[in-house]
Amino acid sequence: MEVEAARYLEAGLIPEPPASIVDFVKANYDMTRVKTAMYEGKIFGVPLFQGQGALFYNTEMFAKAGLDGPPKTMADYTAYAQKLAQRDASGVPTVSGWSLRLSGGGSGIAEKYWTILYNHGGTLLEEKGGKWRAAYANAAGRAALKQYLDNVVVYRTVTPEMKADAEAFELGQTGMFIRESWVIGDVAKKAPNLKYATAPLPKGTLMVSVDLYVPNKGLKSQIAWDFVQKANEPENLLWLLENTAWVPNRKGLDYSAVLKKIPQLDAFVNTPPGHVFFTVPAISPASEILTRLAARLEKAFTDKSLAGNDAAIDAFLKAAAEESDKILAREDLLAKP
Amino acid sequence: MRTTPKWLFPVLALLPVLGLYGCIRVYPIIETLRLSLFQWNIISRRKPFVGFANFVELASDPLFLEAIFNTTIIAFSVVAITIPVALVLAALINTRQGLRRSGVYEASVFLPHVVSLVPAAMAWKWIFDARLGPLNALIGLVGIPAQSWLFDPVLSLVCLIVLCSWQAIGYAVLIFLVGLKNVPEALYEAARLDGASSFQAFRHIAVPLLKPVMLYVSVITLISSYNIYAQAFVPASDVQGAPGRLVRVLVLDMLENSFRNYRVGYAAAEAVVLLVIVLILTSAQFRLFRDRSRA
Repeated sequence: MEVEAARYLEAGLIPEPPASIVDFVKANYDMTRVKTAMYEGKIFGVPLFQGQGALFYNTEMFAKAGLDGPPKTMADYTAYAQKLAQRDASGVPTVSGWSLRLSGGGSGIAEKYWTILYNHGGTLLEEKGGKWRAAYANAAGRAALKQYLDNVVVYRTVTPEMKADAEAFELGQTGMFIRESWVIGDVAKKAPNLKYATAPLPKGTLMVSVDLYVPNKGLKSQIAWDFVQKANEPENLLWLLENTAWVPNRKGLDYSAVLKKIPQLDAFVNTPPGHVFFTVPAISPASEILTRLAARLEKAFTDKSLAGNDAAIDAFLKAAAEESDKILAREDLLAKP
Repeated sequence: MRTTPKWLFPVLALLPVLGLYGCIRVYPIIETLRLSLFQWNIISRRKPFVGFANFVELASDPLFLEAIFNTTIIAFSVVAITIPVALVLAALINTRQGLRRSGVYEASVFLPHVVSLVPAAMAWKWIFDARLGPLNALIGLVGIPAQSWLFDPVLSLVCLIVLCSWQAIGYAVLIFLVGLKNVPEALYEAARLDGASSFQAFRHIAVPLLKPVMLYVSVITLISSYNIYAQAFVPASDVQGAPGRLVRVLVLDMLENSFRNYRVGYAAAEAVVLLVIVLILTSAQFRLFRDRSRA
């Protein structure tokens, strides 16, 4: 269930769809996607497309740095970043090795941290008996934060002042970064000559599903449901993929023709076996937990006193996790340890 | 024959305006006060009464406390910069009244006040840019190393103070100019006859007479500085994540709690705290200026 949709469903503002739509969803989507459109065991919407992360890397920069393929482990990421970073005569980085999300406000910082945390073997929130608990104040959480600090403070493969994200990638100002598939469409528009490839992350990625709902019943709602179903026809979903690079949720689609035109989509539509998609739990305080963690992380990423100091990192994570748990407790959603 | 009471017409004439004022000013304040005692997520039909729980939580909320601290530093600094600078600029412009280009001086000083907040903040974001900004290029000419204006915790506050002062000064100058024009010329002439210099006349005649104007300008500047939002949000917020550290201010924290965290009651409690702060500071300013004028 999408976090925001859950609020509307909780308030009774979204009615159940017709039985034909429920059958359509059950028949055409795997359970991970179906769950994103379910509330209290019932299907309310139709999954359309999803945001999921993968690595984007500049193949020319990789070749120049003597790297013949994408990093395979999280340790590789830092090692690669050191090789990819370019500096001026005074040692100040001019091209980042690995563009990390270090600022910008909002929950995005925490979501990106979560992806790196997951690939270190951890997760942000864990479910126990329908309730939740912060799960990042541990070795995996430390490893993930340490990786940021190593890159920002210790090796300075990236600095907060540098251009970041897709913009930096398109301008050739970073060697690699992790982002959703929309970047492919953005690169096609803004930097069509950029030589790049994509690769799946070592263990898994955060997946945010975009689902369609119809907020009322009646004559016009049937027209809306018809549109929803039409939008999810294979030919329209493939058009969506080719033109926006957003990955459809529907199973059994034949991507071969699109992949011939846009090979970079392969890392998104053909994830390796065992690759895990995890998602933000559909609980009302999810945004607040992420936003508050993001506010703390934004400061921590550049905090020199944390670099190389495991005890300080652990204390930081403990305080942050306590705040997350406090929010869950306030909403009566805190699981017992 | 019954005559219409004299008060009826003014009351009827004022009713639409008072009604409008009540709807768009008084009602939202009362509703905010009421909401601060409830827990509500904007969508839900459930809106449980929680008493002062929101206020109790605020007292230990690190983000709220950081927002109060930052906003207070910014507001007081903007007032401290705006009043003297605007007064001096107004005095200088006032000496040029009636001459050619005097309107140009007024317009150029007032221009930042009428420029939309977002484009202005975007322009300053570029000025403060650590890698491509003209400010670092400028200080580089005198051998000062480039600074991370929008990332350093102290410098990012300084940047906001500069940006807010730049916008506030134009309005303050305009108000001071009106005040200066109302100072009777005879007082300056008497001072000149007594041998006072221009500065002495300004210091001992204009400044004391401008105290009511100063009170107005300082109250308005302080209130608007406590309400800053776009100036803090625009230089730091970007889906690309760069290049700015978010300076948390009160209004930004309120918006985040209302529309990102869906905690409207909690955000309303923040608004009530802001209201109380502004009321206390405004009354303190009135007291300060009144006491001094009596002394």
